[in-house]
Amino acid sequence: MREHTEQMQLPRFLWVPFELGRPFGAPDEPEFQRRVLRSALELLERKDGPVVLEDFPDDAPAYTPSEAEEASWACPIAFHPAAEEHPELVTATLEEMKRLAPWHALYVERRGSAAPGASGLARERVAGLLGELANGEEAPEVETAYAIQEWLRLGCDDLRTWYLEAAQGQPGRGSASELRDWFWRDTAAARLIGSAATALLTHPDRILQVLAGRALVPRDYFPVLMPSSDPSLWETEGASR
Amino acid sequence: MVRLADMSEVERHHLMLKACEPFDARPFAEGAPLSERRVAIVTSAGLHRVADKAFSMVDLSYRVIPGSVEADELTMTHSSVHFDRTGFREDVNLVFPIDRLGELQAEGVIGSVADYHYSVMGAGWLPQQIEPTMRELARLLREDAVDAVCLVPV
Repeated sequence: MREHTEQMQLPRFLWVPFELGRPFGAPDEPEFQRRVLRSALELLERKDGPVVLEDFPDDAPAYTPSEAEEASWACPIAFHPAAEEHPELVTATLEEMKRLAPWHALYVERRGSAAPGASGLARERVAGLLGELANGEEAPEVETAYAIQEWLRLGCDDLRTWYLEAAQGQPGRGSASELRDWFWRDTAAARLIGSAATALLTHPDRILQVLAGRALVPRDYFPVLMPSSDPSLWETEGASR
Repeated sequence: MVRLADMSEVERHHLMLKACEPFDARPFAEGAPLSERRVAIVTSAGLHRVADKAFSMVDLSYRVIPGSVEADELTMTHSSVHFDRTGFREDVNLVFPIDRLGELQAEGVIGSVADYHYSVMGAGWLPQQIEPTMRELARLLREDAVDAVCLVPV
C-alpha cells in the first residue's frame, strides 16, 4: 500500500495502482509491463534521496472483449449453481466440477497446460476432505507428507485455481475481480471451503484456527461463507495479509 | 500496490491496522548508470519451481529461480487468499518480469540480467523477521555480480 510505504520511508519505491497479484498491470501487455519495469529501475539513477517515492501514472490496460464476447459477458459463468440443487456440499461440488470439466479442457487446449497442483491431492479428494472437516472430523487421514495446515491451504488453492481456469475456458473473459467474485459468491466449492473453515475455527489445534480465520476465505466473504465468524478476531495477530 | 479505495471496507480496515514502522537506517545508495548494471528480481509472490518445496503458511525461507526458467516450470504457493493467480498463469511476466528484463538488456537500458533470481513468500511475518534471509540473498546476489535489484511485491 502507498500509505504503508510512506510510513516506512523506503529509499526508492514506485507505487502502482494495479490489482493485488498483478504488480506489472496486465498479462500479455509487454509494452505496458516494460514501461512499469523501466520506471522502477530508473529510480536507481535518481540522486535526490534519502526517500524517492514515485507514482506510476496510468491504470493497467483493460481487456477489450470482442463483440461476441461482450454478448456473452453479461452472464460469464452461465451455470445454475449446483449448490442450489444439492443440499450436501461435497456432492454439489463434485457435480459442479463435472459441469466445469469441459470448460477446463478448453482452457488447457488454449493455454497448453493447466497449473500444476501444489498439494499433490486430486481436486475430488480435496472436496471430500473438506467435507470431512466440515462435519467435525479433526484429523482426516491423508496420503501426503504435508502437515494438515499445509495440504489444506494448498488443496483449497488448487481447487480454486482449477475453477478459475475452467471459467477462463468459457467465452468471454472476466476481470480478476469478476472471476474472484464468481468463485466466492456463486460456487458450491466456495461454500464447502467456508463450511470447513467455520468448523476449524473451534478446532483444538490453534494453527488450524488461525488458518481458518486468515487464509482459507477472503475477509469480505466471511459474512456469506463463515457467518458465525467475526473477522476482527483475526486482525491483530501478526502481519498476515 | 493497489489503491486502498479499490478494496472492500473490511480489507481496507485490516490493512490500515498494520504497524509499518520506519526503518532505523536510510540506506540510499548510488551506483553505476543503469546501462551498466546487472539486474536481478527478488519477488515476494511465493513463486518457485514446481519441483521445489512449497512455501508454508508462515515461511522465512527463499527459493532460487534460474533466469533460464520456463514459465510452465513455475508455481505460486503464497498463503494469501486475497488475490487471484490466473494472471500469473496467463503471463508469468505479470509478477516476474523476466522476459521484460531480457528486452531491456537487448535495448541497452540495463547492462545484463542476473543468472539467478529469488523468491520469498511475503505474508505472515514482520519485516525485521525476514532480515537474516535478505542478508543471505544480498550475499548470493553479490556473488553473481548483481548491483541492481528489482523488489517485486504481489
